[in-house]
Amino acid sequence: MEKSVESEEPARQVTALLRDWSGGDRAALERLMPLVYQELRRLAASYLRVERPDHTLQPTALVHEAYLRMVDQRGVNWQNRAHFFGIAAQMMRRILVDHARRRQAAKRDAAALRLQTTGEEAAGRDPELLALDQALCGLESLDARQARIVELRFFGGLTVEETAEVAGISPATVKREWRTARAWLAREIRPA
Amino acid sequence: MTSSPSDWGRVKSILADALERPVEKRGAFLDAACGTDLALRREVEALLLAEREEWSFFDSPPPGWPAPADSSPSSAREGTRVGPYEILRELGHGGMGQVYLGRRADDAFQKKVAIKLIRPGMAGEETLARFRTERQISAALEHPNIARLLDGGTTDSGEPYFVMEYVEGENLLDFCAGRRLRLEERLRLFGTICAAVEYAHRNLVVHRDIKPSNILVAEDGTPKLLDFGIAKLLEPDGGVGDRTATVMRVLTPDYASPEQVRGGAITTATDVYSLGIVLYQLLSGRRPYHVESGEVGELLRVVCERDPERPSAAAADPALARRLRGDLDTIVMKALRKEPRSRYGSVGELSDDIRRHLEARPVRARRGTQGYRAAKFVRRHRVGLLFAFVVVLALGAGVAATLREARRARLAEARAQRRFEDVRRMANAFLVEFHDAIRDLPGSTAARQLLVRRGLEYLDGLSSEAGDDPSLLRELSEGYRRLGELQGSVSLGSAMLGDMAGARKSYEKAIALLERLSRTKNAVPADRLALATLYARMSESLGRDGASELAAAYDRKAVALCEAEVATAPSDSEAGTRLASALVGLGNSLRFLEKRDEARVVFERAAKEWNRLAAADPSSVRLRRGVFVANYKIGALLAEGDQNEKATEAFTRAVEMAESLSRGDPSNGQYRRDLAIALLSLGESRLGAGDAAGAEADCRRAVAMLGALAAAEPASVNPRIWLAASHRVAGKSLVAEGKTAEGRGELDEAVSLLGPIAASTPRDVSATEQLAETCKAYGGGFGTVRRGDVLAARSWYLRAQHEYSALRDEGKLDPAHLRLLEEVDRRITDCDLALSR
Repeated sequence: MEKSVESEEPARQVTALLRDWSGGDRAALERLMPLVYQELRRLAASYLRVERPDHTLQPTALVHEAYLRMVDQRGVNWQNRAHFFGIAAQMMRRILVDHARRRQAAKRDAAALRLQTTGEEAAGRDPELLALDQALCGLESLDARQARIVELRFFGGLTVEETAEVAGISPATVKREWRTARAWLAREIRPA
Repeated sequence: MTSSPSDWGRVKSILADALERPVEKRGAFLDAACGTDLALRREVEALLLAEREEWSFFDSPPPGWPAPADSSPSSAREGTRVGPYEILRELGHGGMGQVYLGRRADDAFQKKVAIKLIRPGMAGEETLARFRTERQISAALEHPNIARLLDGGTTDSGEPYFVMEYVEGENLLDFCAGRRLRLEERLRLFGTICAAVEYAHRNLVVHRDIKPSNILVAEDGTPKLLDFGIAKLLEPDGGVGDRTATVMRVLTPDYASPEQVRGGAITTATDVYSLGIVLYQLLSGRRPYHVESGEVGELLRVVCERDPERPSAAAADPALARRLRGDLDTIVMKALRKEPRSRYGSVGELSDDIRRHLEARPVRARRGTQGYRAAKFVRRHRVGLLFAFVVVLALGAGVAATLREARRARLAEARAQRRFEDVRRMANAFLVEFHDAIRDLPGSTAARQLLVRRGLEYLDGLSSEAGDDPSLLRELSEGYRRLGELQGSVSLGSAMLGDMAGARKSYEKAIALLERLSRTKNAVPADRLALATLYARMSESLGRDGASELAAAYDRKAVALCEAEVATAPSDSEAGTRLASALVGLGNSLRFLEKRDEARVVFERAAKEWNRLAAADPSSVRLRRGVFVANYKIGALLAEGDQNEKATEAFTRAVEMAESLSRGDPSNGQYRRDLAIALLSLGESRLGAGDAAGAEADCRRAVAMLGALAAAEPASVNPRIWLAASHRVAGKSLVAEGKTAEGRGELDEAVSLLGPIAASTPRDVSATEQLAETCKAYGGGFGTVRRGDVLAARSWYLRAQHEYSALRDEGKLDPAHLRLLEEVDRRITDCDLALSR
């Protein structure tokens, strides 16, 4: 019974905040961020506990689930949705990178102790992910907006149009920025 | 290496331009763009190279999480105990958890059971409590086609589990595919499944998760439904968001109904829907939707908004597609309606229709259409009619040959004439009646094409014999015209010919025959009017293919012919009517050529002509409707040219005429539609002229009328689009009056009506345009002072821009509407300027 109270209340709250924020209320964003972040972390953790080895969870799926859990579908439009994903993208990046770091560290420890670690498959891309994060930090200092577009597209799974909505630019510009960013990041990350 | 933001800005700009060029042209472009700046060029080249390298990182999703350390391999479970049961081996696993084969450890008979262990976190204490109370209900289901729920509880480590009767068999789809079951056999099997679900419904148990993998078919062909009542136990009572997420985790998204996805009320209609999906797959071999596992946003859109392809369209095999077209398509689509109330009222009704189809009796889903019942009759007597068809074809060829023989042998002219009469009579039956009779038959396209081909051969054969005989020329011309109409007809059914080029060839032949006739002294006024009609048909067909210049040329010829007729016989109302119609046709073509002033002059002439005729014969509703049409067209042109005061006058005249027509014949749907649309247009032009209150009143009337119309014709799209347009203009008017909240309410109505229509495939052009307009209006409803308002307005403008651009990119944006897109672009720029201040 406690559960239903918990799950219903934030849904209404988050939906209202999302609408306020889309309507231009910055304070709503400040209140929204911690709620979304908490939920994403909670979901990620619960998946870590119960997910089967043959089911690799995709972060975009997780963002979607967070969205479905937190937002009353009938009370929002697609712009609200895009903004939600916009917030989640940023957090997703943080959560993923944290995980990758910890996993890398665990691997080093395990190697030292000659233990086998779990999740080898997913961990295989960790170095690349960490390199991407670092390269993105580099891009941020050159062009913050472009880095944000990569975040939205890659970590949030947003479409070109949704990205355009969140970043407040035209879809054509998103495509241009995304393509050039990929080139730049590819060169940065790929071993020479 | 790029070192500063300004460097990167330069590099990026050149890189982006280079990327848009084909690889072989990039060198020359870089020569021009970088000039002597070699460092810049090296940098861009390096990036281009990196881009071209296969680097797939972005093409797959970000890496996921590792497997949990505590997930024990399934083999480790073997031999362990779950309550009083012993686990033998794993049978499978799904969204909820694992399924094991087990047996009751203390059972002397060693009866096998299926044990479903629920994943931790999927079911809490309350679930188990509910399970205990509901177990009695579900366990009470005793039916030969339902696997019994035997027991349930929690393991020592707290995992909930269910115990079911163990069914040995294959899942439904594998069974049908493996045995290569014929369509009829599949339908009978499906009927048995329906009966089981019906039984459960009578006992007040809804399955909620019907899918092929939950239906096992035993070796002897007996189907059994698994997991009855379990889905319900696993659904929390919590908020909507929570419930939707549950659909993703517990249920299979590909089979979830709109109400399950949205978190609406679950009823027996939910099972009807899932059965519809199972039937869809059983018949076509494909799923109606495919929801990618991760994309839950897609799930909402796909399941709740998109209409699936008909099973016949999804079937890979043309013979199968033909078999599915008609009844089976209709049955499946009725079961799959988004709105639970529009589906079959019960599983019994669904299986009843399947039975009716198997017995070649009319199905209820299509009940009430005359043509359908006739087609059903034809189908039951298919062989007999097919024979008649062959005879007709043979006769056609035979008679033509006889005619030639007769000529060659210089037999009596009278005899040949009599023969010709036979042929002509047959031509009518042959080309028109027969065509109409078979039009709605599933799979009749090939027959209709054959009909047209034979008809052409036959007419061509006769033409070469025609000589200068006036009545023969007329008959042949009419034959070609009918044939052209058949070829060009785009019927509402699934099968259509729609061969515009072929239609025009036939029209050309018809025209050539009549032109030949009109050069002789035998021609009568009716011939010239018939010729004018043919010119108009040509113009319509050309216009439909976008050849407006040519279309206008034909319209001019038609106008000239009719003018000459009217000049010689001013009191001939037939000639006058043709002239007015021809003028309207010319006006339409000119409008498409964006010659608006010329078009208006032509429409005004048409209005004058209709007025003249209507004054002479006030009782003719046809003439008065002509007055309505011409005035409406004038208004539309003026409104497009932003001359809203004048447009208001023209629309007012149109509304008056439509009102008077509708008063005279209140049950006439056409007049009511005319009136509603004229009111909508009048409202829009009034608003443009600054009379927001008047506009609001007009649109409210239009909303009321169109709302009734849309409700009366739920299957047709246009009334809903017009209704949305009325909401849109009403909303704009309210905003203009300062009643912003009320206005947004109206605009919301419009958006929610249009969204699903616009997103259909192929894209619905007018719905998309309306949607874009509504988004623009929405944007206009925000203030320009608060930053938040500007941002909100901007995002609505962006959506409008997106909709318009999508149309333009597909080449579907009316050139006359390009200015609307430009206007949206300007508004976005205005917002940007306001934001940068």
